[in-house]
Amino acid sequence: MADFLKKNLNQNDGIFQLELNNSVAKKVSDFYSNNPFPNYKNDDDKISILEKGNKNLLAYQFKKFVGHNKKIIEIGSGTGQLSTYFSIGNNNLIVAMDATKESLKVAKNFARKNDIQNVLYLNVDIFDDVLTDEYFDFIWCNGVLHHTKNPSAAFNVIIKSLKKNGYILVGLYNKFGRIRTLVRKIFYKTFGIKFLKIFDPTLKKLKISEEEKLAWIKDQYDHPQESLHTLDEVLIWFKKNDIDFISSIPTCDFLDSKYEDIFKKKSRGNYFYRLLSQILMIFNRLGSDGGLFIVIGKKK
Amino acid sequence: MTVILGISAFYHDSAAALLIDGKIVSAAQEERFTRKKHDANYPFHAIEYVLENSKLKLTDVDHIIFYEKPFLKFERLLETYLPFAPKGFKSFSIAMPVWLREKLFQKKFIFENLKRHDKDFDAINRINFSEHHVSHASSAFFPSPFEEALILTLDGVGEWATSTLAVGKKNQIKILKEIHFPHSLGLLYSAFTYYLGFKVNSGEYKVMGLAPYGSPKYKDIIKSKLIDLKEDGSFRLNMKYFNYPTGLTMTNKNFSKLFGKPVRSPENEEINQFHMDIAASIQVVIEEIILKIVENISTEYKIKNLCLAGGVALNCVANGKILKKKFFDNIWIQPAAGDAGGSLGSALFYWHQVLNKDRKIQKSDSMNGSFLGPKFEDENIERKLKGLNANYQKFSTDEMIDIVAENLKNQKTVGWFQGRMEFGPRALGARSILADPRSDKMQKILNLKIKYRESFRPFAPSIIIDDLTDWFELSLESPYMLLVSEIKSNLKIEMTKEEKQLFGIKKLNIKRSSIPAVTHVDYSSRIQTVHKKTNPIYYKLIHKFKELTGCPILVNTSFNIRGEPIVCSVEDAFTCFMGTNLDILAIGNFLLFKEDQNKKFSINYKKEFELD
Repeated sequence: MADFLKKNLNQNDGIFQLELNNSVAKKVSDFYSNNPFPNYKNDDDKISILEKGNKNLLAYQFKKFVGHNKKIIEIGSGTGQLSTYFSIGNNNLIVAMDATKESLKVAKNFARKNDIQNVLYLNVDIFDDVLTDEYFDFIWCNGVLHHTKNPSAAFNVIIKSLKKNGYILVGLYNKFGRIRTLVRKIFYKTFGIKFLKIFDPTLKKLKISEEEKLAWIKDQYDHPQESLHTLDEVLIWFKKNDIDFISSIPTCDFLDSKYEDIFKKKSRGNYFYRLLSQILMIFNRLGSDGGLFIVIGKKK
Repeated sequence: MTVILGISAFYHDSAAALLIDGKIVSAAQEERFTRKKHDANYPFHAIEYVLENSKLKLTDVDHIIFYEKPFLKFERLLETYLPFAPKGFKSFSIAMPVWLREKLFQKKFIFENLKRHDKDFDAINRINFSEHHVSHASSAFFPSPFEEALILTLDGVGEWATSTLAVGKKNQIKILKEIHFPHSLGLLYSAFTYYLGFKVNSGEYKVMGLAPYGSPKYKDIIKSKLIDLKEDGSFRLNMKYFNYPTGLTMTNKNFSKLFGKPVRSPENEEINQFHMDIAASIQVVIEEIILKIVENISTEYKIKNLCLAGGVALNCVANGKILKKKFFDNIWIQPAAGDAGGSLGSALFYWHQVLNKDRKIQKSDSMNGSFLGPKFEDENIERKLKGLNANYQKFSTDEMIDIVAENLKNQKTVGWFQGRMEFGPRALGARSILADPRSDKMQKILNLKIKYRESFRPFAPSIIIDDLTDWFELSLESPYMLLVSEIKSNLKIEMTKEEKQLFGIKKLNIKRSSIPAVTHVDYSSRIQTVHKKTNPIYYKLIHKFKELTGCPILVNTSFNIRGEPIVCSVEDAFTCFMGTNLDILAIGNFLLFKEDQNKKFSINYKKEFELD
């Protein structure tokens, strides 16, 4: 038995797996099997993934902070691009976990081709609760919990696998930040894809293939399961699980909105500051790309 | 089998040390693992390492000794504040809650942390405490090669005592005298470190390195205004000029007024002649005080051996002078003389003095050359290098040494990563950067392009012990780089009249000897003698270099950049190698050449570490 697992799982094709028995997870898994997201380009290799990752400020800061010889889990790894990025050049152990087997197969294939040996692949649902307690130094869980049937319960499950003094990064759709996307969704349902090609900033900004555009549209506007959350909700989850608040994007402290060092402890602000920060998401850049907000915590 | 774990933590430089039946098996500082310089947190990683190195669990440990008694320190905090109240309320109110939480409840706090290593650990009664200066004194005497010795510890501040004199005989030490806080030599030096714009508790070396560029113009002011020095070397500070008993800074306005300039701001003000003169002045005064104390105790106690420890013992210029004055026949200095060494000292104290076990005195000492840290086997190194996408070549040890020596001769700089990591602040040839000392450009290259630090900072020579007396005015072993001595006069290049008139850093560009990279402007060097027994591979390398060049000396500086702890793991070494202008990395039997590496895997390294 692999030591990051507390249950015995079969290994198939280099992927640890368990049959899905939760209907929401099945629905989501089926959705991504048909719309793998994000996909690799034909000429992608270690270097191109490294360069792509370095441009993502959040991922870059995370990787730099993690350092060497640490254990990381990416919950909701999809096709594993980020896990691959985290694995390059540092001898960290990464577990890429996702409910969609098709996505993990793509990830595993890429790893085989590029001789990536320090990523393990795990095909389970969060609620299967298979991870060893206090095993990981870092949990990256960005854009996942809002696709589960009960995000707060899912959080309670994954947080058990974090070591004391370990860090967790959670990213969720924000109640305010996602308003622009939801408005676009109504127009998209009425007028079709053409509308989005003009009004979705991500589709306009990024030079991506038609196939990738379609994957983005499906993920953002056609998802079968999606919920919305707030900073205060996550702070309650943290409190219940003995997690110290470190920082958030957008900031909890309205007066301090620097994001250069996301692992430096910041103030939790107060209710009104947090509310204001989130309302502003409707109007600023954070609300344009789907309205995700990020909270980082450290286990006591 | 009796296993003792020594721990130092919560002030600065956390560390762990492990003794098995009295033998020093392993020791390491926490900063090396967490990559945070002077990390003062509970040394979780260092403890994990010392246990794992001996394949032990925490439940296998018989005694756990913490290096200072929490209550004594607490009393000091209260008593210091009372005479100065209510002036220090701000500092008091910041420090107090932390103290109450962490220090007062220290035993429980330590116990809870210990449980993180081993859930089954429940023996809170195995935790014991030693006193700060007893820990230091123990670390200086018990591993020493002496049956009997005087022990002098000079430190910042422990529980109360800041300078302690003790006598060690066989397996017992006895404290003879103490000079109490706030009259501390370490803090006096730190106050000047602060005034010169360097970081306290780590910038003290810089003051020492800066001193030879200046002249001690302010010596008399310091002696007449700042301290009251008695004939026996005891002293009191004039607290009118200092802020540290109660404040959050080291010096106050009166201090700045006395010297006519405000505290240097490191961002906005370059180091100039004034700062060099201040550094020279405080260095002279400190040396004078130390020499007085040492002279006094040598006549009073008639013991021929001296052991030194505590932060001030790292002031190797002063150590060199003690030796020169011949107050003692032999001197031994604990290489981990700072707080980290307290972990080792507390464990040794418990073994010898509490459990009353005899010492087995070794001819040189019992520190194993201070090579007490982690080591990586070739197989492990190769696996790690692969994971780092490094391009490497494997050789036999002799081939590796030949290639490195040849490249050093050709002015290449080498990251040298061999065997067990050093315990203590100095790199001694296990985690070192090496270069050719004959080059007159090397000091600048190393400072500016590799270490990213101030150009004035000196480098130390490693010399094989057999050749020591041909090159330096020193006849004693100095395996821990803690003694300073002048280069032989026939190797000096005298300055011309014009050159003598140059000031400060301009003197740096003058070729001072045939080994300019390791000769300071006052012709002194901080020497490390290299011994076949404790460091065979490094010894062989220097020997080979001598065969090629006639010079039995290499520049040896710690393997890190400014502000970074010395590298510990293969990953740290590779990252530092890729992030600096080092030419070659020699790691175990593997060689990595910079031109073979894929630059895309390197990151902007300099920004990662806060400059000190």
